[in-house]
Amino acid sequence: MVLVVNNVSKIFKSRSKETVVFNSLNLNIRKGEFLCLIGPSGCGKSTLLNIIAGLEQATEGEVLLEGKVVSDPGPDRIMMFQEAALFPWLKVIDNVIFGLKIAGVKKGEAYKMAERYLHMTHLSQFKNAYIHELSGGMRQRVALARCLCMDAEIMLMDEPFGALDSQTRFILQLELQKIWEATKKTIIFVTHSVEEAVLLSDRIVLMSANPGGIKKIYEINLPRPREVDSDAVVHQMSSVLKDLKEEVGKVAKAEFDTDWCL
Amino acid sequence: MQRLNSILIGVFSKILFYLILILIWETIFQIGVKWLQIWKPYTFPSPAFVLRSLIKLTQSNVLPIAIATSLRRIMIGYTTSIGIGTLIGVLMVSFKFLDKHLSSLVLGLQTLPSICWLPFAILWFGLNENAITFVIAIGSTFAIAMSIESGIKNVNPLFIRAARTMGSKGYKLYRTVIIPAAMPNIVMGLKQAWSFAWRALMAGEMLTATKGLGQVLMWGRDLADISQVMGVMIVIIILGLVVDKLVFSAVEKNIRHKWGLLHR
Ligand SMILES: Nc1ncnc2c1ncn2[C@@H]1O[C@H](COP(=O)(O)OP(=O)(O)O)[C@@H](O)[C@H]1O
Ligand SMILES: [Mg+2]
Repeated sequence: MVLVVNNVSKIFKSRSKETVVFNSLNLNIRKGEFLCLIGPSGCGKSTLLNIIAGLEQATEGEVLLEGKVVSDPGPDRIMMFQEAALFPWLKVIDNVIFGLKIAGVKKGEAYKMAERYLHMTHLSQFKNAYIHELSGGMRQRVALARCLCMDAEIMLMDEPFGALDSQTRFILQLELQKIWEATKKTIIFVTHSVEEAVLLSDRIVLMSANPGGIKKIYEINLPRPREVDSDAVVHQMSSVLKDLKEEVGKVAKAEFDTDWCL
Repeated sequence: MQRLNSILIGVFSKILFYLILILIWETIFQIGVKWLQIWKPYTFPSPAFVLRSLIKLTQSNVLPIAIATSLRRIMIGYTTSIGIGTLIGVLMVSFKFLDKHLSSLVLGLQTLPSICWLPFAILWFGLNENAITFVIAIGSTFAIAMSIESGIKNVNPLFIRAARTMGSKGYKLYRTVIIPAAMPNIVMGLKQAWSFAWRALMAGEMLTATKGLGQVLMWGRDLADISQVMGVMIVIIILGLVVDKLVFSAVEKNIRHKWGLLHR
């Protein structure tokens, strides 16, 4: 177990109300596994990821990283967001080496590493461009290169391909799979696409909302590379989708307060 | 080549514009003063007289000294205001209590035309350089403080989160993320502060000074020399434009280019 989420509760308190996101959530993440989190929106996927990243504090409980309690963000757990979160005042390559510079890596060496990852994400020609000159897909690739450049053991990815067109997403999924197989990093990947989850992951964690928590965990023991239209994948997808629909339906019912039905 | 061409065309069209403007001015002078004689020559200057007056002021070294004096004063006052304004801004960002109460006070003080501080300044410092420096500084300090505060507070939180997961924190986080991210706002504040300072300087010099552009302007009035008044006004406009174009617009353009804000 590289990461242990131990009895973690998260409550957001504002002046008018308290939002209980989840209570006593437990999850063990294995070294080198590709774990997907899915669930209805608002069920706390981002919150859980933020707590693991150390960007958000758990109200109760703790996250243990190789036995040590996580309290701050650190370069050993790099995070990638749904929006690229790139810095507009820096060129592409300087964005990619940002974390390396913080870590004190020499500039020449950092550039060399960055160029390798920019090559991998097919962005070599754009290394001297500014962020606004790139398309959404290219920005997300820069963010991926920046993330990989940090060479962190654990990668936390919050719907990183969610806002992309399906073609770009497909390419980046392949790219990420290759990289993961080559480096055997531990990846926790939030997605709202069941297809993406089944294609990529070793395990899928389905979260439920109100009360938030883990509804079910699926072991995906399918051989790779996986094809979207293979029987096994389709079968797996339909069983996850059924449970997800049920959860989404619950949320919708609570939100719209009618006899909503999917 | 194409770029050079378009620059040349730009310059020519600008020169043409000002030539036409001067021509209209001369025509109005000829009709109003010379021909119909509705205005007295000492109430309406002509381009030729203004030019002659500027040459005279330059030859007698009055104008160069005045320009140097005014520029020195504004540099001192403006630099002071950057120092104090930054300090106030940073304090407001750092302490919630100050932010809550001081920022509305600072906003109020910013709306007060700084020349209103002149009586204070004279009582505190006497009729001297320090009084003028004070009036300049106080005119721009609050604008700078406000821009620093709002610039830092409006930094996209996503930038900070991303930087923190890459291990950036404390002073480094400020230097590498928060300040660059706040820069567009801060530059706007610096520019606004400069124009406040420039106005404060002119007002201060017209009322108190024994040197400087504002004083030469008032001296023209005392002599009933409308050409001198007009000439100095033109010099003040040109100086303001030059600083704006060479310093602030250049910096702003650079930032806009990087961030991809509004191409001009
Ligand atoms: N900073 C915050 N303050 C208050 N409530 C929040 C905050 N962040 C998230 N929440 C609430 O916590 C719940 C879970 O949010 P989130 O983790 O973003 O869900 P997901 O990523 O699964 O869509 C939501 O109900 C959301 O409204
Ligand atoms: Mg989310």
